[in-house]
Amino acid sequence: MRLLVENLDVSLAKRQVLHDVCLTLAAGEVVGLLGPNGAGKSTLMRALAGQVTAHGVMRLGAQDLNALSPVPRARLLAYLPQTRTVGWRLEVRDLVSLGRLPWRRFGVRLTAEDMAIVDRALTLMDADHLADRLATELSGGEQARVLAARAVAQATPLLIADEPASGLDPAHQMLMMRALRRLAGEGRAILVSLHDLALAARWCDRVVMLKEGRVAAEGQPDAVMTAERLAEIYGITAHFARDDGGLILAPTGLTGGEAL
Amino acid sequence: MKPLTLITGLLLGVMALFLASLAVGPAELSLSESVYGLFAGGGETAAIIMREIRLPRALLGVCIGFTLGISGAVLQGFLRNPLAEPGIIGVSAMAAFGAVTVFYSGLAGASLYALPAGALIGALVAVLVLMALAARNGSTLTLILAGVALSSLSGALTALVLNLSPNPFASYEIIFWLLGSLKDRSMQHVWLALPLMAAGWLLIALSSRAIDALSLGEEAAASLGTNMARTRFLIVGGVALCVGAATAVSGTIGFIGLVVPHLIRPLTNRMPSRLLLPAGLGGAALLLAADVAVRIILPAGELNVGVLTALIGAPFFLWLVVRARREMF
Amino acid sequence: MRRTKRHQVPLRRAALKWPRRKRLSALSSLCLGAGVALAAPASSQPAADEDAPARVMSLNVCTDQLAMALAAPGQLISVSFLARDPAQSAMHEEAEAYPLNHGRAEEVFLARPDLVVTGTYSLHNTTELLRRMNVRVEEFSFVQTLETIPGEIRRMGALLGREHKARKLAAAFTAELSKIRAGQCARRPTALAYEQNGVALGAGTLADSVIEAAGFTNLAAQQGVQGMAPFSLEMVVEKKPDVIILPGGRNAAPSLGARVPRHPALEALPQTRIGAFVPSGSWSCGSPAVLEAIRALDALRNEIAPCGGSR
Repeated sequence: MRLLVENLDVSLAKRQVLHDVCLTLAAGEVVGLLGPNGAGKSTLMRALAGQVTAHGVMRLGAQDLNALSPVPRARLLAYLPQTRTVGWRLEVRDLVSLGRLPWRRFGVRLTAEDMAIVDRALTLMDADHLADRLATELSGGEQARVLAARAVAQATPLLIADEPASGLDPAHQMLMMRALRRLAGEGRAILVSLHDLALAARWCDRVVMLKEGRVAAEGQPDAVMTAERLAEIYGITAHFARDDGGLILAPTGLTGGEAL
Repeated sequence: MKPLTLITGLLLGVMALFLASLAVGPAELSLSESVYGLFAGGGETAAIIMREIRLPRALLGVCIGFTLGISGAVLQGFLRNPLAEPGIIGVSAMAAFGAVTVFYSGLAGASLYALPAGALIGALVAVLVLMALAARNGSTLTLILAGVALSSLSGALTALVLNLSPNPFASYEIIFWLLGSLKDRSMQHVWLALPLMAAGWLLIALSSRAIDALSLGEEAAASLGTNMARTRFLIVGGVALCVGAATAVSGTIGFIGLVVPHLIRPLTNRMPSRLLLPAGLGGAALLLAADVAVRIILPAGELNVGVLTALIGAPFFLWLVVRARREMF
Repeated sequence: MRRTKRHQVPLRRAALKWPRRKRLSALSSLCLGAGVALAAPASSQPAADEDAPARVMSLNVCTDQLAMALAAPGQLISVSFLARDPAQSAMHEEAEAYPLNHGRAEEVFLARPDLVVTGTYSLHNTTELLRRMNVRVEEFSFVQTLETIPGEIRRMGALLGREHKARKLAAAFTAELSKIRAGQCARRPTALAYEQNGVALGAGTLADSVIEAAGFTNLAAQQGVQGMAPFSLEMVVEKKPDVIILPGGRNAAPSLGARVPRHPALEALPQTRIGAFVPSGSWSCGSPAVLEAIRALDALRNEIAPCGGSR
């Protein structure tokens, strides 16, 4: 199933935040959404998740996302918000089970199939061992993966994750990215916004770079993340290298005079 | 604890306390007299006392307690705020103000139907105001402060309306409206309030999936297919209906909606929907127990049950505030 | 079953009318003694008619009744604002002829009365203030039984310089009372005066002596209720009084308390007569109007338990 976004405009409080955004995403792909703060990454994700009003084409397979009501949308598209909220001292397995809500009829308990999907989601997110812990008592990295497992348990062809790696230590960041790749390997389409360019360079199949609400560049990390573009969009200099795992990118400093 | 075990236990408790409520009163009836009075016909003393005085009181205890417990649980779940409760956030006080305004002004004559009509309007206004506030700024503090303001304002307005009543007795009834009671109610009150309360419970039950999803925050809940507008409607309508109807017949009975969900939550998996039924049953048990207690403590003068629930609940509230950190719940 | 709109004897106004306990009236007579010694001849040495006060104000609904019954034309310059309330005042029609006062010290002072009559506890602070302003104030402690009414009538007569009329009125009252009492017999049905919020009028109240004089047994007093006190619905059902006397009078506005004496549990009592049997305002005060209350209850008693009849 393929995500197609064309000519997308979004305005928040009468200010236009996204201009004419175009984007495609195929099953099995991990696409990184990059751009400085305020470039419109979160807004684009919210628009796809149906949480802000958007004008333009948003299609997933044959479905027009704009025309879907909440539950059918939740069966096609899982959205992992940037803010990590755990309202009550829920057990991890119960929390992840919430991902099954769109598939359950009112008053029907979780089936064995639901439970199997929940366990699978925990496994995919390397969170098996956390299943019986309280979600509020996990470390930040563990909690991030558990919340992602909830989105995974929704069993949707498309997963949108807003900054799933922010605030995590390097090991947890890599665990998160590896899990997302594994999901793509299962045939899902993953759209993930990232601040960490090194992570994006190494783990994404393609990246889309936003600047001031417009798509500034789109393509494979090698092609998009050039010294010129980083200087233009982020105002930074970087060191580039590569190995078997792909591009290695390390920001080194600010471009002269172009202070942000 | 297994949900079924918990619910069975609470049901047994409610039944025991219901029977206790039927057994306690100034007229000394033996067990056999009471049972005979309840089920056999005729104008016998015991039958009148049981059917016309004690039965409505016990039934109202169950229904109003259930209402307060379930409303507290659903508001806490919806607002992800462990201090939310119809009494504390001012819904009950506004309902009382509404009932008082319509009833004592004589707009509806001396009809009892004036009470729930006014109370529902009052409760609805309160819930709408609070939801609007919570939507702008969802912090615990904002909500509680707004509730304090709403409660004081409606308490003062209630006093004003009662003082303005040409019936000099009316001003004494401020105590009833601020610290409710189940004394001397009749089956009329039961038939008046029960359908409205039941409708409220139904709306609240329909919101159960949404409040579960909301434990992950509004954005995640929306992405799980929760229709926030519908959820808000269900909860506003449900709480207004059942708390309004309860307050119309019993006055303001505070803190049950606060205390009960906290006591019951650790016995569940803390999923907000799983708390609804047990909190309702727990509320029924607590209100029945308190109402039995007031009849035993001061048989002659009879304390208002709202006084007792406040005596238990207010220190509990303080304790929660002192040690409150959201993750503690 | 006769049902009339109820009369309201509100608690706070009831306090204006009579003290709740007898020991209070004992205390009040001490106060009264002091006041009289300072300002006026005591009632045992009545003033001659030519010394009678020309301008008299009454600040209390019960002194209103006595003063209106006894005062010479023009002598009574105002009565309390409650005097025109049919629920409170048996002489509300007569009261239309008099200006009203609200018992405030300023208005009394400005009216320059020669004598102010009021209840002992009704406006205590006002009374003190008036005394300090050298206004002559006579307090009436509100008697709670029929026996003291003739004495109160004579005392008001003495204060107003209308002893002759007072003696006639008191004698007529006593005679009428004895006549009604003579009609009593051994069969005494029970009656309960059941007020708003389930408050019963027990021993020591005027209502109690009216109920007794009409040939009933006051259930509340029999059950040990002193003064005005709560009497539970369950006890009413259990004791099944033959008559429940509801507050009568014009229903001013709804209240929840008013519903208690009308609880369905009472209506379910098969043998009990429930209603506002006492003419409104007639037993609010110890005045000759109390006779109307006694007559009404006596008639009711004759109807449900006639003397000499057999059941």
